[in-house]
Amino acid sequence: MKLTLQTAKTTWKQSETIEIQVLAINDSYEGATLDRRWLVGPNAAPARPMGGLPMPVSVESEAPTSTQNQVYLNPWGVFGRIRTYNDLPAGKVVVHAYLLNRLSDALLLDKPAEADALWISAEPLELTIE
Amino acid sequence: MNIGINLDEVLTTTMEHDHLHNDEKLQKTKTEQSPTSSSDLLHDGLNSQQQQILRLQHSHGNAYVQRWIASLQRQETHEELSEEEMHPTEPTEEGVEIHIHGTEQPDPQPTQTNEFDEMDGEIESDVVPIAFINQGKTGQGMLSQPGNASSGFSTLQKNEFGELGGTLDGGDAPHAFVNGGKAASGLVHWAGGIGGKGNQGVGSITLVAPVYKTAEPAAAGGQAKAWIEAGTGTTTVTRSYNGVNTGANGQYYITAGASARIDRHEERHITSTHAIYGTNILPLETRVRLRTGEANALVQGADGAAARTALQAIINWNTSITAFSQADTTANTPGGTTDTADSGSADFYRNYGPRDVGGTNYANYIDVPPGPGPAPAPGGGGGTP
Repeated sequence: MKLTLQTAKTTWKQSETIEIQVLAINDSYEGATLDRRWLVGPNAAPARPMGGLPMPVSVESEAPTSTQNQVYLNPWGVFGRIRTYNDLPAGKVVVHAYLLNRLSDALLLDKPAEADALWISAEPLELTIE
Repeated sequence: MNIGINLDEVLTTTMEHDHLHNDEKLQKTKTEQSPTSSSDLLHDGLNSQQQQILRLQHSHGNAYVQRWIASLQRQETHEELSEEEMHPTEPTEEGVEIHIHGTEQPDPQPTQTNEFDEMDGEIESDVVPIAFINQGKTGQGMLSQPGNASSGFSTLQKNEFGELGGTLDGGDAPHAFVNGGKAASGLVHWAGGIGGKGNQGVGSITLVAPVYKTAEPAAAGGQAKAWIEAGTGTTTVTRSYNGVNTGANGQYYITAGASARIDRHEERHITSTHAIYGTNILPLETRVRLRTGEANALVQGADGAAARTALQAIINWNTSITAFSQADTTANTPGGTTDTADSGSADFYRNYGPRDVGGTNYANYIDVPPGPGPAPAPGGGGGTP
């Protein structure tokens, strides 16, 4: 499994809407199953703290049944998520995403609080907000 | 004072004589080396009035002489201000009142340091911008305004919602931790508003540096005194926060559960600061209180400067203030240990992504776990937001 963060450009104006997507790619030649709740991100973390509440991690709601949480990925199939931001502060913003190997309730922006719950992390995406 | 002799000088001299007289006895029990006793030398240097006082002291005792001199002093009070009014007196162990001439120092000014390089004024951090905007949201109590909150002493007196730290029992210096609680609500700061922020900079504290008063030893060989002037040596730590509006916050929709959780997060910052205050400032306040006022003076040192230095070492003002400020900054700066610990909580708010709420599309739906459930399917199927 491979996890990537993508955006149209790395330098944005504050007035622009920033769209960021995280993609979990089954880069193997066998099928794979993900739980949609295992994907955490994109999580924007301004390099200079905004001086208030931490930004929330991006997750998905739990489906009514367990099977509805499962996503089957064929080889080179993709499961992903898009988030948009309008008011990120000027300066550097680092965007994180990671994939869990089991459910965990303790989620930080760049990793789960329980280290052994981490499967893979995406290469952080560095943005400049002007 | 016009009674023919300098009473201050006489009293000081008689006390010195007592010491010398005792020393003389001790000397004589050991050796008879001195051809002329110190007592003789002392008497040689005194005028007849002083020698008369000494004889009275020997025959009737210090208390008698004290009362006699006091009666002479009282005769003068009809003509001029009494010496007592001009210089407070304090009994010594010998029962003789001596005049205390305190080292006058100017009133504390809101500067960075006092003359002893002790921190004064306010310590503020630029990490958390101080801004207060009353959004006019109904049902929100305005507990304090940052401008007033940083004024320390007077704010403490006025803030009916202030929580006093410690168990201080009166006195002229109300040292305090003021928990201003939730001051207002507003648009979440992620969307450019004032909601979800503390109203004071991390590590901030309002200070009035201690003003030290001293008194020289009452007699040669005695000890000096130092104390803290009432109303100085005060600290005020104030913390309050702004909550976030429930519902629409720009591109964010914040549920009531998330809004309440955000309040709890901000309260954790206050709790954290309060704990750090308890560790670093409360003991400092106690040390100051125990040495505030002349009655609580530290009696130590050969002169006033030495007494003051000893008292400063006991108070340990700068170290305590710095320790508080640094620990508070470490814990409560954005992304600090309080944020990290709380963010890892199972019930922390999360971004459940784009969602339609009541016909309005929001890019980010902020809720607490387990979240809103799946987005409704077209035609009304699916979960319930």
